[in-house]
Amino acid sequence: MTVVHVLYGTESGNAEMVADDIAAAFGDQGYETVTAELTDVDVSDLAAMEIAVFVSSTYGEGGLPETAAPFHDALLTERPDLSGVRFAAFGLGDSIYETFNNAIETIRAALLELGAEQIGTTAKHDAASTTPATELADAWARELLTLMPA
Amino acid sequence: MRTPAETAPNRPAAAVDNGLPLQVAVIGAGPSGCYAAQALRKGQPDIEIAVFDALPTPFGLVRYGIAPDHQGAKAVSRQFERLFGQPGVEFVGNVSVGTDVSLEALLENFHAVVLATGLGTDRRLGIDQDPDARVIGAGDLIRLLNSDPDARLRHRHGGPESLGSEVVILGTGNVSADVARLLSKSDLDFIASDVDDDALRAVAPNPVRTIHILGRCEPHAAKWDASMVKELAEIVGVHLSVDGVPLLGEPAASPRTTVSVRFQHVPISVRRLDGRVRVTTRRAGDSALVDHLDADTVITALGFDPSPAQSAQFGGVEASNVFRVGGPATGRLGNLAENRKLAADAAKGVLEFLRGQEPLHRTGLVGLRDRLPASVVSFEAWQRIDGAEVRRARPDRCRTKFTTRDELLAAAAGSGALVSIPTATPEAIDTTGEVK
Ligand SMILES: Cc1cc2nc3c(=O)[nH]c(=O)nc-3n(C[C@H](O)[C@H](O)[C@H](O)COP(=O)(O)OP(=O)(O)OC[C@H]3O[C@@H](n4cnc5c(N)ncnc54)[C@H](O)[C@@H]3O)c2cc1C
Ligand SMILES: Cc1cc2nc3c(=O)[nH]c(=O)nc-3n(C[C@H](O)[C@H](O)[C@H](O)COP(=O)(O)O)c2cc1C
Repeated sequence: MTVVHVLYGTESGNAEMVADDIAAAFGDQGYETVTAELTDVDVSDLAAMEIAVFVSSTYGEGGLPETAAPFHDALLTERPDLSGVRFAAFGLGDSIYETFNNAIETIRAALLELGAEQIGTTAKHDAASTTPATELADAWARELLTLMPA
Repeated sequence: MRTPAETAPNRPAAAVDNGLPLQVAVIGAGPSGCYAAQALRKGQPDIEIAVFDALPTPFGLVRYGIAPDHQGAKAVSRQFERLFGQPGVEFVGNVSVGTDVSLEALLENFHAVVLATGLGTDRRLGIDQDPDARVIGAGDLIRLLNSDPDARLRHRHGGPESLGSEVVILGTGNVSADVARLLSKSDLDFIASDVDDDALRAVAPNPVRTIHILGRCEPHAAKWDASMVKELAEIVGVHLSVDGVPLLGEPAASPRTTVSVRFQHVPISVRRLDGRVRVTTRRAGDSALVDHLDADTVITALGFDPSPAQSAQFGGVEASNVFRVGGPATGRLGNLAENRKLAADAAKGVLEFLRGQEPLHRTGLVGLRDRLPASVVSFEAWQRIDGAEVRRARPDRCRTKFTTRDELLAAAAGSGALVSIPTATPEAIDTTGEVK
């Protein structure tokens, strides 16, 4: 069966918790999952991933979290061919910032540019809302599961 | 709900010594302690951890520091709730290590001890200062507005007193911006927060008219995030200028609160003058240029130091199985992201140490039970406090916290008596939602 890679960039850990939830949702459906922080992901390994779920918070003025920035830089310099890679995207942000959830857009843009295909909708959690990130993650992962190849 | 440690298929193989789990005590249930526990469990899922806190409530300054109108930042506590939901991770609240139970007792019962006690006091000014001039610490003020039962300002004789209409804040970090924001918001701006309304009304019965923020450094060296200053300037009714230049252009109407930030002002003395406070500064780089500012209260936002009790209890402790995270390791309070990284590194060190040791028999919390005070607050008991606070919240607040240890312990015990206290009477709120 398909291996699902859940790759996260975080600073205060919320994205890691969401990544755990998404991995658990897929794991419950019998998928094998691998969860990793983006600092531990080699961009050259991406092309071999069938399904990669990206989870990232936003920092600074719409920037990437510290642990995701080197990965993004590497993507743009090494430019691996990602056609054949299917990915999903989950962002975490806070609507008190104008640059709400900008980082996941930055990552999406790079992946699309390199030929990867997105499945599902981009989730954007708002820390200022009353919905816990894990609740949104569970609902979003369930929807994503319906889009998975049998 | 299943925990990630139970569901993650890619978890590391459990290494158990003689079938007995490794026991770690963490002192302090703030972010540093919780992140450390989280990383320890991720590194070794069967490790058993007891997290002690002197307060009846977990999460340290997430609950009592991070500003009550920044609920988004407080949401990290959800990670820690999940941590304590796992079997093998215990919250041992209302137990002060060094007072209620000794560090030695912990060392006898656990393989390793992690000190995550934070930094308990506001850093003092360290300049010529009248002892009776009204100078308060930003941390103390924010603890009060966050309903910390031990907040020093709550326990001063006569209760918290008004800050007056003109305030000087010393320091240009995020905490300084938090204080200025909390003192310049109207009641409407606190919707969905968990600010302590009674405390806020006591310290600011009328809007604070003028806030001076003084920084020693040049503007570009200020430690606050630009977004924090912008947020302050965008509050309706606030006019903010930096070194005399308005940040968002001149306001149309007369502002409720004027915030003026001045850089390169180095405080040299704080004196009491006619019941007010006079701050004397000199210009950085030109000590001949001296300014005076008179205000009702001076608030210091200059960072944090260990409290005298922390220094006395843990200052000199050196043992190969005692580890430090957060303030006790770095001398800086740091933010969540920094402390998460430090805790992850420390957890790696702890696991390396434990794996390199001859297995010793340690019983963990079980061996300590009869030495703990009766009023221990478990995580389950904390959840009762949590539920009670949310249920009794006034309609426009997300929670109304208990403000005394007695109330907290009663709620922890499940006493229904205190649960529903309407805190705002209808006549205290007019139709605009403005508290009179
Ligand atoms: C006003 C303010 C606003 C902030 N806002 C933000 C923000 O928006 N974002 C951000 O990233 N960071 C923010 N921070 C910083 C953040 O709060 C700290 O980085 C973090 O709380 C430090 O965690 P800690 O666990 O090291 O210390 P603490 O949070 O202080 O936790 C230490 C814990 O140890 C316990 N303890 C101490 N001594 C003992 C003892 N002897 N026995 C048992 N328990 C003990 C204490 O009761 C406490 O619960 C803010 C800080 C302040 C003051
Ligand atoms: C200093 C700082 C800057 C932030 N900047 C943004 C931002 O520009 N846009 C946004 O949507 N969220 C921003 N956030 C909110 C975080 O993305 C949000 O709190 C998220 O839940 C953090 O997730 P993490 O724990 O995985 O890092 C910022 C948070 C902080 C503390």
